Amino acid sequence: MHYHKNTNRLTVELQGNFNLDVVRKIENLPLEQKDLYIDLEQSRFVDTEAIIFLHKLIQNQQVIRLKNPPKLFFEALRILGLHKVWDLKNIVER
Amino acid sequence: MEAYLYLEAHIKAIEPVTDFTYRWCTAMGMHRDEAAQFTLAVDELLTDMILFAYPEDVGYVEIWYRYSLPQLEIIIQESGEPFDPENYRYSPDKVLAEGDFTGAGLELVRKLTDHFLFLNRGRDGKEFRLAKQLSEKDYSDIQQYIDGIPSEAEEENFSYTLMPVTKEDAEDIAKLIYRSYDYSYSKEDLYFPKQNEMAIEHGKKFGTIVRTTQGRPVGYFTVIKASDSLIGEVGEAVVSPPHRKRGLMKRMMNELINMSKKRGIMGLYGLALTVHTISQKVNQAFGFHSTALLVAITRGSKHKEFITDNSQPKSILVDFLPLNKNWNPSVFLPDRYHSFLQKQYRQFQVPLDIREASDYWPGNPGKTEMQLSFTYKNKTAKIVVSNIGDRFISSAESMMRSLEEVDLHAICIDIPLENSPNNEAVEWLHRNRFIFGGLMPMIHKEKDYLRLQKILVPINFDLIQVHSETAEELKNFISEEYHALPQEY
Repeated sequence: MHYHKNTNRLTVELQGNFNLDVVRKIENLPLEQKDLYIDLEQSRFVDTEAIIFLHKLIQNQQVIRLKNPPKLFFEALRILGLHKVWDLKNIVER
Repeated sequence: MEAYLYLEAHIKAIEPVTDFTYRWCTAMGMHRDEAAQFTLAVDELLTDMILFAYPEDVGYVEIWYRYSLPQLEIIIQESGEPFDPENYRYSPDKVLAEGDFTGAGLELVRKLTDHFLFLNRGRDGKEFRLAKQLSEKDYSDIQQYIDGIPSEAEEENFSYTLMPVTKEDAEDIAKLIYRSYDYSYSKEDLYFPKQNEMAIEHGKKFGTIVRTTQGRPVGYFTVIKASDSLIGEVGEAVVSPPHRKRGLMKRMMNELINMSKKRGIMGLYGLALTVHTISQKVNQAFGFHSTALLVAITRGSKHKEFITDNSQPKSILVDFLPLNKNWNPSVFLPDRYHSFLQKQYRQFQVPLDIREASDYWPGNPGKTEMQLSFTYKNKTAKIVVSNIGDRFISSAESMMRSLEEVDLHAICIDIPLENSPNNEAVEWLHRNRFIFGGLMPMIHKEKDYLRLQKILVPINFDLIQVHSETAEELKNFISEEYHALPQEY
């Protein structure tokens, strides 16, 4: 996982799946009121630990952008009934 | 390719395990999207184990990767804190109202797999079984080859050549099956040329293919080698309809028996569905003898011409042909089935050494060893007891308890006849509604086993068709024992 900061954004590039290990690492990053931008180009899936993590951030008004999430991410959200709860138009970037 | 992982339940294990799982699935022919789904299910279970099964201690997880094409199965075992998935049901309403995601991971596991089983194995730990079928998307690969094939009516003068099957024949076999049965053939993996090619290449099966002088494949018959014994099952027999009644089945069976002998195969099984007696007659003509009748063991063939009744799961008659001339069974016969088993052995005219419990010096009977497997589509479970140890009954009780919540049609259990006295084990199983299944010669590690069966659905034995006198006697014996059980249905 790589990350870099600029003035108002923390960008995280994942090298694999978005799982518990990645969640723990992101939790330890200095978010400092910045928008969180996660590049999921290399991920095959986003698991429920990651979805729960993102859901809590969204509930706390954190601005999140997910770049190129895998198809399975949308399927997981649908199964969990969150696809209509999350504002995917503003969260997902292709 | 089967695989096994033994690992510490640690957060750092998640990515390597899921990476391996995905690669294994795709290597086994699973479509990438479905491989990702299956992998996510494994990720969810492994994560739950790391978080909840071993919250403080160091613990270990075992993962088995198995296949029975077209199905892949992953079994995960751990021995951490007690847990029952039924107590963790996901509710989207709870998420919205309270932010409570309890059961979210298990919800994905259930929805992203074809079968998900949880087995509480008592002190042997907890077991999670995930299974997923290879997609029928791959079937479409065959269709493109079907168009443009000249019709068989165009070829009138038939003369045939029998050749050993090679991996290059896999595509022709898929076409042959398609032309003969459309998509209704029960051995689904034959529609996947790559899977069949792999099975032939890896020596899991061998067989013969019949071609006309024009090179058209018109017949195919194989021996599928057992994974834990030097025996095989004759099967996957097909003859293209215009070429039937020309003696091709007979020629192919002779060829298979010769090929098996050359390869050191010690015996051949023929599993004949009892919705008709055609296969039974073929087996009998080649010297096979019926040894077991497995009731409610399969959903049955999809061959529409044979199925006249769909009111109950189908049964299979087990026929056996010994090829090893040095087969000298030395066995302990349980009291309950002593004379019937003796009669079954007699039909093979082999020298039988019947051992008595009093002759047995146990030394250390050792640990009870039993292995459980499922055939999900048939709703059946099979337990193989490789050693009846000193704690057989408590291990069997624990195993049966773990199966109580599973929706099954039948459970089979194989009890070794050659290792040690088995009377106590057989009597315990009988008290737990297991009845006779039959003799299974050389079935595991070239040793003979007694197969018992617990039938969990109502069965009308009149619908089970058998051909030979021996098979009829076997059917009556099992039917009488079945009807003597107190009915629970």
